Amino acid sequence: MNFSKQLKEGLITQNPVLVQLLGMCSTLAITTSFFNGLGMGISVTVILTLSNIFISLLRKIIPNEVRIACYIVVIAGFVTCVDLILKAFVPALSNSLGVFIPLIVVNCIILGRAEAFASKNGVGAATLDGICQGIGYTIVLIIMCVFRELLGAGTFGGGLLGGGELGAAPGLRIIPEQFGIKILTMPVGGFLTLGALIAAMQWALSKSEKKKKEAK
Amino acid sequence: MKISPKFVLKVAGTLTIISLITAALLGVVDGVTRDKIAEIEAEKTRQAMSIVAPAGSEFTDKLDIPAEAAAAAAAQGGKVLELYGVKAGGCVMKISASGSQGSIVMMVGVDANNAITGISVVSHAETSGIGTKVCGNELNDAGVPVLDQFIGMSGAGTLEVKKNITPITTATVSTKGITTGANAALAAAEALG
Amino acid sequence: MTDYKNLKLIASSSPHIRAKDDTRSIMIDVCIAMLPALFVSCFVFGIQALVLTLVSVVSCVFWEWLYRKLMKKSCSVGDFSAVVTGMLLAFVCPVSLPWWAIVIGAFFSIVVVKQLYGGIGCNFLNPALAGRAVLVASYAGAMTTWVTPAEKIAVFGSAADVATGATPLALMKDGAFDQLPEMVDMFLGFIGGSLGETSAAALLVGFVYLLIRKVISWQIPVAYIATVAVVSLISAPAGIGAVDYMLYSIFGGGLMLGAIFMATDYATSPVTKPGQLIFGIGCGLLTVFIRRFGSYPEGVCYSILVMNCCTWLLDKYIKPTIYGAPKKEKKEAAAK
Repeated sequence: MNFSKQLKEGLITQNPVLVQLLGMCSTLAITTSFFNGLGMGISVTVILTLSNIFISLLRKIIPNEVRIACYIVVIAGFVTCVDLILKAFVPALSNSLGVFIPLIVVNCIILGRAEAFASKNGVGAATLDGICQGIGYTIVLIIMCVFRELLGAGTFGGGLLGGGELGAAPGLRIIPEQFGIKILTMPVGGFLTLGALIAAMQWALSKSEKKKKEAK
Repeated sequence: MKISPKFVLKVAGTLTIISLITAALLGVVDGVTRDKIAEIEAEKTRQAMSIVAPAGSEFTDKLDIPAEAAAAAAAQGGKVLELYGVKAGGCVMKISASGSQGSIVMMVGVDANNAITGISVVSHAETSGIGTKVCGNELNDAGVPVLDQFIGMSGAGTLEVKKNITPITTATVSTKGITTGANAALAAAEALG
Repeated sequence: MTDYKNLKLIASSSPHIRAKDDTRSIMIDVCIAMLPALFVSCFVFGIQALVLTLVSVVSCVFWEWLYRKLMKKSCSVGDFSAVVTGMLLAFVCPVSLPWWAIVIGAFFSIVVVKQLYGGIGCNFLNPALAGRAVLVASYAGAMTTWVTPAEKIAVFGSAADVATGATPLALMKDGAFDQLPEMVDMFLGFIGGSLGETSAAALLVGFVYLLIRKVISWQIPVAYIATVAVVSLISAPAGIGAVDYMLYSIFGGGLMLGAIFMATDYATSPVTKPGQLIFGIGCGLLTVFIRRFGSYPEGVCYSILVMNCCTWLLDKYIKPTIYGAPKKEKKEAAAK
């Protein structure tokens, strides 16, 4: 059991979004408000952890030939459960994330971790992997949300803070509305932000690698 | 390669069992959440309808859309998505018409005399800061909330931007989209009789 | 007698004879060619036009300097390309645009579109137009508020103080042909529109200057404008004469500015003459299509940006002929 190593992989060296480049679609589409990012991040973490546990449990039973089909059935089952539960108990989040909750079924992070990790490791390690990768995904989403929301709409914590109903809250106004660079809240802004983040991450990684080499 | 029956049985059997377990799980979750979701959906629709109908109206369940009403709306450039009756007379329709960036979906209420009782935008993709003003019912160039100016108007095809409908400057195309929807709703209501 | 001991000899590889043209002199020529349009703009819209252009130029140069400094790269401010981008960016914005918006536009033009792709010559989109596209998407309200000419507006004034009016293209889109301004005003530039695009006369003066200085070749601008002219002529709607419609289409909006100064950008247009002709025709067709069938009244900006993206394709299939090859061999090479 190596929690700190797995956490470091999930957050930095094997970050699902910035290093493995998995799950781009939802990352680009929903990162427009803090509430969306947090909700999506938690949903994915829960589904990822559950599917990792089950696939790890079933790894000796599932025949190699139909493993992808089995994974998808398990993942789709959990996603539909989460979708129904959100619709019934957190309708605000379900409204604002829309089709992207059902689309978690085809989110590459979940299938990718099932194939690369859960099917080869024990339940304990697979659970930890689900949690760590989920946290890595959530943190990137939140960074993107905060950046795009702050510069694009001029607010912080939209959907959560600033009074009003959950999901409809305007967020705390930090920059006057007229200055907001609205293109950042549009899809193209998602691409720009993600590109900049990936570049920064790769730069930091290559720098730390250089340092390690020099130390040797 | 020869595939042995045993192998087929193993592969198909495992997949079937996993699917069955998942289905059972889904059944349980669905049972818990079904009523709650239906309640929330009904509440949402009722809220959207009560904005555009006179206060205190009661609504029928969703009705089938007659072909002649759909055709009349299409002739005006709009599409009737859903139709509900108002028990005191008239109806409420969910209409889709094209705005400046895509379809604008709106609820339009029409009374028994085929005059509009209200319009509210359900979903849209208009330009932020321009078209959104129209969808958010802000003041038009004449100082009247842009969607409220339709209330009381009648006569399918007679509503026209810059004639009897005042737009918001720079958002003329979005205002035209709403007007198309209003004309379509009136046409459909007239076809319903 | 020559003092050979103290003679300074510089050892360098060929070429030893160079033309005097370098990036700097070309960019300065482009700046000079834009001055007539800037002058007319100041005359039509007031001193605010000059202020906005200055803010744009200064912020473009500042972003370029800051990026190169932070990235520890050689300082490229001296080549004047940022100055040209700054002037063009101001030219494609309405004069009433708040000054802070153009600083943000300059950031996207210089840092995101130009420097992140490697600096001058490596960008695949025209920086000024891409900056404009960002501004239109972000501040759609301010970017479509057109000042009517000869309205005195306060320096750094807000858009609310300004008398606004529809541009000729918007009038044409609505079919309000009877409200169009006089043709003479269209040509000289006394019409509503972006800061530097209104005066066809001043822009043509700049075009002639650039041709004489051999900074640009005629292919792209002529192909572009001629395409728009021909298509407008044969597809003029009812309610206006075909020739009038054609002239309003050419003089209205950013066509002249785009064709002369934007579409001819070296880094983002094809190298070969046939490629340039196709580039110009493509820009022209897209412009007319966007104006007629799109939801915007003007299509010059997007049509050039779209054709910018096709430049690599045109350069790939229309290869430059080998320098010095005899004509016969050229033909054979082409036949292959």
